[in-house]
Amino acid sequence: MRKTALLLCVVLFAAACTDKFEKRQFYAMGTLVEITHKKDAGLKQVIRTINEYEEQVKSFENEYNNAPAGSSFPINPLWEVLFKKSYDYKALSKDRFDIRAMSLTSLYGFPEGSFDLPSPEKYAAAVDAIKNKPLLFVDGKLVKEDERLKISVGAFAKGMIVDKAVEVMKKNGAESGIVNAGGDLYAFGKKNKSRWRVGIRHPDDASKVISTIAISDKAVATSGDYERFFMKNGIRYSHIFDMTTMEPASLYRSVSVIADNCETADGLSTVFFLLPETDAAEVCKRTGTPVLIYTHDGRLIKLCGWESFEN
Amino acid sequence: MKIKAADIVVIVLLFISVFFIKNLFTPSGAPSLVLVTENGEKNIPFHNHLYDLREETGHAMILEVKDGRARIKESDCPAQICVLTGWVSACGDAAVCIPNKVAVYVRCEDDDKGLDAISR
Amino acid sequence: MSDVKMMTKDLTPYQDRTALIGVFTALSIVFGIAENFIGLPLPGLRLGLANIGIMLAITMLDFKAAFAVAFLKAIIVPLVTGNFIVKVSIGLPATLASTFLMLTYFKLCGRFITSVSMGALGGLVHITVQFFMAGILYIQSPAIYGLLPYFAAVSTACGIFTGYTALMINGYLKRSQ
Repeated sequence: MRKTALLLCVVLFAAACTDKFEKRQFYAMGTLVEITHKKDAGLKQVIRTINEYEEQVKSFENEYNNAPAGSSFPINPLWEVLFKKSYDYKALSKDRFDIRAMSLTSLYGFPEGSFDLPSPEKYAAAVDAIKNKPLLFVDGKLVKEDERLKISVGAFAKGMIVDKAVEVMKKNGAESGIVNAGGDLYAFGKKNKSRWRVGIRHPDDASKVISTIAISDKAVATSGDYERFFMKNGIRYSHIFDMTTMEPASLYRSVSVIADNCETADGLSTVFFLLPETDAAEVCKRTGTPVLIYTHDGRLIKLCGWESFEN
Repeated sequence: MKIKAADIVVIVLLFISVFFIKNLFTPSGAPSLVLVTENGEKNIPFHNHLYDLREETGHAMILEVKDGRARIKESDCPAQICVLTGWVSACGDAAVCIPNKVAVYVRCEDDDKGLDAISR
Repeated sequence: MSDVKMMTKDLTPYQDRTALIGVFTALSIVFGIAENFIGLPLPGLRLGLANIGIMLAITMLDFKAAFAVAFLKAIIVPLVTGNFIVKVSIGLPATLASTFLMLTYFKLCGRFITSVSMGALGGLVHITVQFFMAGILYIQSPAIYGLLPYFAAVSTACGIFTGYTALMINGYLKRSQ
């Protein structure tokens, strides 16, 4: 009897003391960031890191986007990487993805609104700039050739900053945790000796998930047409534009990608959002990243081993 | 009949558990900040801001949102429980003022599937 | 517990057991009604004096007796004090759950503990289940759980008080044998 009682107490308190994680939320990178962590993961430093990188990315974008033609911009090491990555994604997407898409999408009001259709003249001017004015690099500097050109690395910079945040957490001794920047997340280590369980949101119902995966030391990112979009004349204008058609991508409702780092997951989720099914199946083999696609008719397409992460 | 040593131990453990009981009921998931008044619920962004709740609640109350946390900074209620509660940030955390019928709490999406995060 | 054996040995079965159930139930009901007039720093919270009868049934009688007292108290007190449906829907599950856990606790650890810690446990369980029931039936806002720690702490303290009272009554009954 005494043993039973003792055991009961031990079990109760063991249950109370299993891996206890805290969640901390804050607003950064234009979205709600949630960090799941154990106490003392150096959160202040993590948040400062996120803000610093965000500032580096944003200030360069703003300077470039608001500058007159002929301005030139020195490229810091971070942006050197960002430009390099952007060409990788451009190639993978067969030119559908381009960081200069901002020249066009900003006319619609993206990313922050207010949203409306651009005038035909402005639309034509932006399309002309994107078609005929590639980014010009002179002596290691970016030169703005055309005033209408605007860039945004929003498609994968968020993921890269998540990776930087995770680095800082690990440096501070964190063995496990999740950094989730508005759905683009990296989960490292384990929780109670099992992998982290991550749900992919249903595009039409925030309380439902279309797939549940278990991951450890992996990133997941989702691109969809349901968070940043506006409706006009019954047509949905989402924030991801196809640079071969110059129209919003409308192949799928949402695309999720699992990758080894969040920058890749983030960037590729946009790339796959732009790729037709057959191309997607072929590209994911090359990148080695599982893909989940949710189509307009509610079909789930699982590519490159997505199933192996479910359950 | 006297109190036994084990009584003291159990009582101490019970008081400690008071701090963890809440976790039994609170889900985790994507959080949102909710202000509850007599008129209903209202979502509040996590942006840093001071809110004067006088119009909303009819009471001299100030809500502060800072760095992803929120608190009732000032309130005209007698017990000041909501003010003493301090910052709320984790899922299910709440600062509640019963006399004024005002609460600020962090609501999270229902987490019956036991998910650690949502990708969206 | 040796004194329990002593008591039950001296009493003749059935009638005296039934009589004691009646006495404890009456005690619980009277306390349950009386404590409506005793205010505590937190609104809606009661001392839990009614729990004394249940605890006495647990320590001096048995499983069935304790539940009989608990059930009758949880039905009759709201019947008298009003707002029956709300009080029963919240209070009955709370009373039954706390009785069950106090019983289990007493059966498992009765040799090492007294009704003081049992009362504390009962108070804590009672308030927690009350919050849970209120949360799913009436308030339906997780915000109320933010208050639970304060209520739980006060309720546990009250449980110590009532548990100690039950211990005194128990001792008095034993001496008067």
